[in-house]
Amino acid sequence: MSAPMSDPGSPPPICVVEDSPVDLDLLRHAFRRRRLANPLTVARDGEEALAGLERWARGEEPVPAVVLLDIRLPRINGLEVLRALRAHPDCGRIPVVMLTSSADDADIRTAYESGANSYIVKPVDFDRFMDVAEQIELYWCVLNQPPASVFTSGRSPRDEDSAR
Amino acid sequence: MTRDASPGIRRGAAITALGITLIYLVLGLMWIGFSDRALLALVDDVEWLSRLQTGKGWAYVVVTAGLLFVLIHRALAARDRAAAEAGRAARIIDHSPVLAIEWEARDGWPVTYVSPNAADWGLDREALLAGDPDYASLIHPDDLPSIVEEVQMHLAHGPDRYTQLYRLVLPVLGTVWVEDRTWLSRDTDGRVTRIHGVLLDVTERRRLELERQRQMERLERAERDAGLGSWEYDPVNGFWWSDQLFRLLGRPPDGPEPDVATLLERDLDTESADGPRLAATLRGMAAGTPPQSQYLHVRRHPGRGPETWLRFGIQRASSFPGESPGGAWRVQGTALDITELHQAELELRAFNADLERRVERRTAELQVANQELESFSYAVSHDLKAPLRGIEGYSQLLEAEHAGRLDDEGREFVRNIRQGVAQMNELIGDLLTYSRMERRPLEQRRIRLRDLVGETLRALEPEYPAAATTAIDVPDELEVETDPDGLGLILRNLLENAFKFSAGRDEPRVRVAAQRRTSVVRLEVEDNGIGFDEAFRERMFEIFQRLNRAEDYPGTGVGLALVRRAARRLDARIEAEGRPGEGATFRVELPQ
Repeated sequence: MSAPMSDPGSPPPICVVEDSPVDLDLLRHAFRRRRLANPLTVARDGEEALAGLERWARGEEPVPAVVLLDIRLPRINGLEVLRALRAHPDCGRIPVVMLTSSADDADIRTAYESGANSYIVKPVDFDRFMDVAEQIELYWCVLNQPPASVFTSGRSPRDEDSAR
Repeated sequence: MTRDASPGIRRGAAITALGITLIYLVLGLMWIGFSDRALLALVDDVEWLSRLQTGKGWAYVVVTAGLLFVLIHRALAARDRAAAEAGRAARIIDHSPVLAIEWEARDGWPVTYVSPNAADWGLDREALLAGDPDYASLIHPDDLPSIVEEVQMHLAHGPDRYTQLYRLVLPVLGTVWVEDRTWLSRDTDGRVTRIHGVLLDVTERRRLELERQRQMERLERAERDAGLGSWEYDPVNGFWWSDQLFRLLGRPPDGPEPDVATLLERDLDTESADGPRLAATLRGMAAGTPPQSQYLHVRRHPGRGPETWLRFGIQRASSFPGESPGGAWRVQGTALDITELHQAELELRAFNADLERRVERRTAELQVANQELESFSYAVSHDLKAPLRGIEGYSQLLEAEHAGRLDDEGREFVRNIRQGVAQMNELIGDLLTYSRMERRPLEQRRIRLRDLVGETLRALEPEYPAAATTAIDVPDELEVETDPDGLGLILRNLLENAFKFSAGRDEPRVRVAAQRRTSVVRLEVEDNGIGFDEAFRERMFEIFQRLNRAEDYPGTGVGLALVRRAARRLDARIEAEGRPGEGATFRVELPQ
């Protein structure tokens, strides 16, 4: 995956779609403590996220390395954003990690069926929150390689449970 | 009859005898006169004449003697024959149960003859002939007026033969029913001279008739009370109906039974319920086909009165032996009034439909409530955890990045805040598990119990490292058919409890045992921990019930409630046994 409009010197941003200022702030702190070089771009609801998608497609903004997507969002929820993103002709291949409070089986299944690359339940424990930030960084930003299963969504619900 | 012949008979006999005597006199005198003259004319010789006269006299005597013999013999033989005949008849009457009697047709009906067997009836023949008692006084006083009237009618207008049924009150036999067959003798003017009767004792027949009548009345009453009519059908005689069946069908009971076509057209609504089948069966019977035994429900024809439902019973029966006029087959049937039953059934059906509607409405309400509960769980998971995450995150950031500006007490406060958060987080997690359990689909699988116990213990190992000496007393081959996740949850919570509450002992011991019983598999988790008071046996399974202080034994108070809920979903029975300070045993019985 390439980022056509981005400066080759600076790493691609991480896009966070999150309505909760607390969660957003904690995530910033977590990334900051990990000394992550990637800048954070923020969408505060589903509509903003879709607007950002258009800007990436038009090349007005750099395409993010990964989108961290909450499910419960005002106006347009995260699953709809995910489906719109996957259906987009230009930006359909951007990796998406669901980062949400919901541990609901139905949400997890729907997310993977709609093309999520990973599903992470936001941990309450801040240490574990840090672990999550580390995983995201390591897997999606440092390696910067979308896994082979991105567009096949071949994972079964059982696997998803254990992924939690 | 033998003792005194009637005057008529006597007169006839005298006239016959006189006639014969006169003829003899004339013929004899003519013979004497003619023969004397002939001799005188033919014979002149006096001596010859005298001899011939003598010979003629002898010959006359001889012929007369011959004639006398013939006549007397005949008469006597006839008399003897008649006497023998009469004797025979008298003996027959003597031995017959029939009493022959003859009255004179005038006031008081004096008896002029009684057959000798009167003694068999306990009657004195001579006394009866003497008119003491007279015959009328023997007749039952209730029957006498009608008998007298009837006899007068017959004397006046005929017919001269008739039969009467009445009671006699006899000195020895008591009240006897008699059938009196009577004929009248009339003279040339048509006046009745004699009344002749033969009396037959019909007391027994009469008793049987009364008995039969009583039985019929009983049957009639029973049918009427039960609303049950009965009927019969055979190919030759057609229908016979009981009175009750006439009544059930709104017909007068004294009318004739209708034929099949009329019954179907006028009496029954053949469109209702089993009507078409009943019509087919009855038409088949009319066409000579014996029906199958069955019960059919049909409504009475609306033209016959208020709404009435009948259950027709049709029973094939063979014809009576030796009585063939009915033909080869016979049907015995019933017709039961089931109007009330039918009404009740309709009401029940309406009630059921109503119930169904109510259940549907309730189910819909429940579904709405369930959905609300689900969105509540969702809200709990998302909205309650979000601020908790903030508290936890900022507490730690405070601890990590501003520790220098905090004194020991400040750091202690931050630790306490984080501990509270952890507890709250656990509680929310347990609550979610509890509320989600009902939604989780049940799976039915065969698992080895020992494997499940091993897995569960391994999973608990990091949380409770070397917590207790654990004994597993589960047979290797023991398998259960159950929902593995549900049973796993039960086992995990019970073991956690056991570890937690035995942790304070010098030698904490936990034992897991299982064995197969007749229809259940029994699983026990036993510990030597702090136990519990018998009073809490049931209450400890309720949600948020804590028997111990949270600082001594941390926990959310949801664990055993979870266990009970999971057990209920598996149809399993769960019970606890324990004593304060002596440990506890939890027992689960899984149906197999």
